[in-house]
Amino acid sequence: MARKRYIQAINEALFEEMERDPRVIVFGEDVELAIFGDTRGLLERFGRDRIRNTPICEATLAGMAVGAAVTGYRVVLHMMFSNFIYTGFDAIANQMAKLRLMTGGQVELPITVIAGYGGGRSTAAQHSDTPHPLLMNLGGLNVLVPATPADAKGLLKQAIRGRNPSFFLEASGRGGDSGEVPDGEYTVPFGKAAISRAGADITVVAIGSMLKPVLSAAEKLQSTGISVEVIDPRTLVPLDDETIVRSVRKTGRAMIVDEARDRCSAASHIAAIIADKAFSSLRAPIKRVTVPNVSMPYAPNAERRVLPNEDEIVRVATKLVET
Amino acid sequence: MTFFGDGAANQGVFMECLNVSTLWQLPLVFVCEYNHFCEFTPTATVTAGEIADRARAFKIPCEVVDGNDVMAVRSAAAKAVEWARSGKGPAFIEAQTYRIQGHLESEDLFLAGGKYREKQEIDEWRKLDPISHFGQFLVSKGVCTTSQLDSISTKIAGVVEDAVRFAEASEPADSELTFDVMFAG
Repeated sequence: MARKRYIQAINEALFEEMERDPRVIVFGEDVELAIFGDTRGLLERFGRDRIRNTPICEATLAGMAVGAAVTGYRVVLHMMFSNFIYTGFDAIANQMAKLRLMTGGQVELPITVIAGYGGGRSTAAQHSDTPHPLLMNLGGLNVLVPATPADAKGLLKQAIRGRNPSFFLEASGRGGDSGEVPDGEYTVPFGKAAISRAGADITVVAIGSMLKPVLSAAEKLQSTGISVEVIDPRTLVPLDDETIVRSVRKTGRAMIVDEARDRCSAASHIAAIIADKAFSSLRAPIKRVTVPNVSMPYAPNAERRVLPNEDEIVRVATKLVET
Repeated sequence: MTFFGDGAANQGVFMECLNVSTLWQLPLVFVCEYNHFCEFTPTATVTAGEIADRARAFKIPCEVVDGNDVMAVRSAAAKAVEWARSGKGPAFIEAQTYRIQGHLESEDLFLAGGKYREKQEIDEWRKLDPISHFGQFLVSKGVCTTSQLDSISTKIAGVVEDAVRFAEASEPADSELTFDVMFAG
């Protein structure tokens, strides 16, 4: 084990997988300079045949990812901000998500799309979206939301080695967060949630960037006598229903915290699963702490007003336990 | 080689691909099958300028050919492929043709009397059908006889009919495949 920063863990995963398999290639806008830091040093080590800057043309980049994957490469496409996924959406939704089925399983699509998501840094409406609900709904993509450096490394390595397209969503502005990362070869399987904190009174499902405020809220709640069990799904597709449901059966209360907009979201989906599979265990309604159906504002105070925060998590959890 | 139509050439991604393939000198041949319709809209009513000019703007070698002339297409393709193979970057072919059939086979049903072209226009282009024209060319060059061509047509029609019978007599798709094929690990 060693303490590493989130962005460093991602960088290590890329280095290791490119060393391990010469078919791994990386491309995207500004990947050579590595503005997020995650692709730093790859050009010097592997050269422009394996990592390359592209024009700003997401529709073509997503199409290139599909074409290169079908012809035998393991593709890492860096989309920079997740809002830029929208410009590439045709090849993502109509090719990447569907070609495996449409070819009767004849083609494999080892594609990993990296994109930074979320607000909190005044990057404004067009650079702050959290688009995982959209991707979850396409029916052919894995959706990964690593919250810790260890999971970032393990899930990215797993994705690069996979046979199906995966979206690896990095929490923007969290690159400096550090945590323990196991030494040596390390992968994290898809569809296996982590119990980030064990507790007895309430289950809080924390998605991606929300793990950090949820864990600090849990610490605060502990001091008021409320014991919180925190579940980090780590991957939203596939989703580890079982771990979530088992926890709710134990605690009888559930809350989901997510930075994506609430409507038709991961949070509403998980709430539906809990209602379906743990209904008789529930002692209170299922609550969602999410972002309202608005665009992310630019002003820091307005942004804070919209994003879920520790105080809100504490307040909602307390109310639930008092129910 | 990548094939697309005059309709697709109005998508922005077309320009992106011209740019990337020229930038990286990819061994790529663009083939625009210019059939004069974008689904149910005549291309001329929704297209500014010449499509080949869009490729010329990137200094991609371009050839506009009669897409109904098999030998002309062959010759243009041979040149384009040679260029692409030589490592000089992409080449572009615009093959002028006409879509005799509908955008889909059952379009008369749902167009419900509405029309986007004249029957006379279709009839004119039918006379230029590339397959029958090429047949006449082969006969005129003494490569084969009309009766040989007829027997090939009869034989191929039989193969197609057999395939249709086989498909109709077969079990429908295994619906479980929908689940097995996705996320197989």
